[in-house]
Amino acid sequence: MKKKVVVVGAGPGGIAAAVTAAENDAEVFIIDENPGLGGQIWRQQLGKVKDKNAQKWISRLEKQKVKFESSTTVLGIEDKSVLCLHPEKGKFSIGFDNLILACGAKELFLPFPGWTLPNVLGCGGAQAMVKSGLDVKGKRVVISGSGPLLLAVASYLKSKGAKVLGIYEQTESSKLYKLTCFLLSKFPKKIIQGIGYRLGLLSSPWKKGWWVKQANGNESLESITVTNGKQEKVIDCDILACGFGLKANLELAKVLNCEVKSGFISVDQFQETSVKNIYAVGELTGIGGLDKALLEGENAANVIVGNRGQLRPRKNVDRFVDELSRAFELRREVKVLSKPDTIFCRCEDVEYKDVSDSSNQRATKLYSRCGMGACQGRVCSSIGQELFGWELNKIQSPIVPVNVESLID
Amino acid sequence: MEINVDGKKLKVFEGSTVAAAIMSAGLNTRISISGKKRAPLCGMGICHECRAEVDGNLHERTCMILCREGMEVKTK
Repeated sequence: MKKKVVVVGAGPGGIAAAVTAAENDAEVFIIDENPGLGGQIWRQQLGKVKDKNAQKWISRLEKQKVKFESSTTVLGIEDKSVLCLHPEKGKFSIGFDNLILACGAKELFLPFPGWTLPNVLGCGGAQAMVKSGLDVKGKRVVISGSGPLLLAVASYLKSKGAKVLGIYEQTESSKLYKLTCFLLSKFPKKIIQGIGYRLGLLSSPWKKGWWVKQANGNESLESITVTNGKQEKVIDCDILACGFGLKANLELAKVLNCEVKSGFISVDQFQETSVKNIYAVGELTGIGGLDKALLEGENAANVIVGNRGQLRPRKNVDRFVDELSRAFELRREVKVLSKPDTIFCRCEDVEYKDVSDSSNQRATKLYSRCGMGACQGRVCSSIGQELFGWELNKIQSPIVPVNVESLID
Repeated sequence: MEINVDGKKLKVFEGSTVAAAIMSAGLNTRISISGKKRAPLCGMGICHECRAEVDGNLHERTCMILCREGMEVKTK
């Protein structure tokens, strides 16, 4: 009998896992909420895959009999089957022998006055929106927050006609210098990639140790105030793209009771979680980007199909994850930007003053409705973890809000 | 391709999401519970700020839905 492998998430890690499992004769299903393959880093541009490496992997996937369940939301997991919801097909479930979680990461947002104004987007969020058709031609854009995404997104938005007024990275140049030295010795290609982005953006200032203090505007964004703690500057702009790095999407792992440590799923050297037959790959096990996701996806699938001898060595991958997180560690100043009336929970309009003295998310939720809205705390509980050290709440399925009628058989 | 948003016809690119179409037209997606205009934040189905009514279905995450000819979208 063929092994039945279900992969949740069709980004690079999920695709690599699905391809490898299918090429080794497993019966493979890959599920994603998005209409297309690729996840975030390989997100399609108006329905087209642009990245060469992505094209290569996707064509390998298409040669196999992998069933891609697109636009499908995973609601939870019960008795070795994945509960799915599709807008037309309704509710259905897919049984598995082995499950590979490749759910990727979301952006971390931090609240500051004005962050709820229309046209204040995430950094990856802005890129995703533009790839999905948002027109930025001639728009004045500022990129801010933290992480390697900033330069990549600035470069992409510029290629789509945006006027990039500046890139404001909260981390200090000294930390970036250390990261650069490490990358030069172990991952020189990443430096070349970074230089490529920067050369295309020479007319845009790239400030290190600067952050957005507030966004100004009446009904929509009009300007932002940036600071380095000593000086301040007001910049008129149409779009602010601001993200503070990535957080693993842990909802399914929590439903499955997989062990989670410091925000990531614990796995052994075979990508297996603390729950037998459940594997996790990519950003779920540590923020390390594309190459790590591909390697872990392939390895997890090879373990499942019995090719333990063919595992690719991790080399410097774990060092890369550590160096990245050290270089872009958040400074204290960006965690204390809120005023008492700054919105903290965007779904329920809970203000900062109603949560700021709480070290307990559950209590906060009970008296303020913080985290009880449509996103189910996906935005504000990550903020609470960063700002107040909140523990992640217990999660039950359905992991996304759905109409009651869609749950009835 | 054309879709209708709050009774207005919008020309959109094939492959565009509903959220991108709404935002490109300078419109917002929802009104917060204290009455403020909101628009997409995460662009990837996490934040639910882009939710709107699509072809009669309430509270859809418009960043996850591709535009289809003649689609009826209601914000607010």
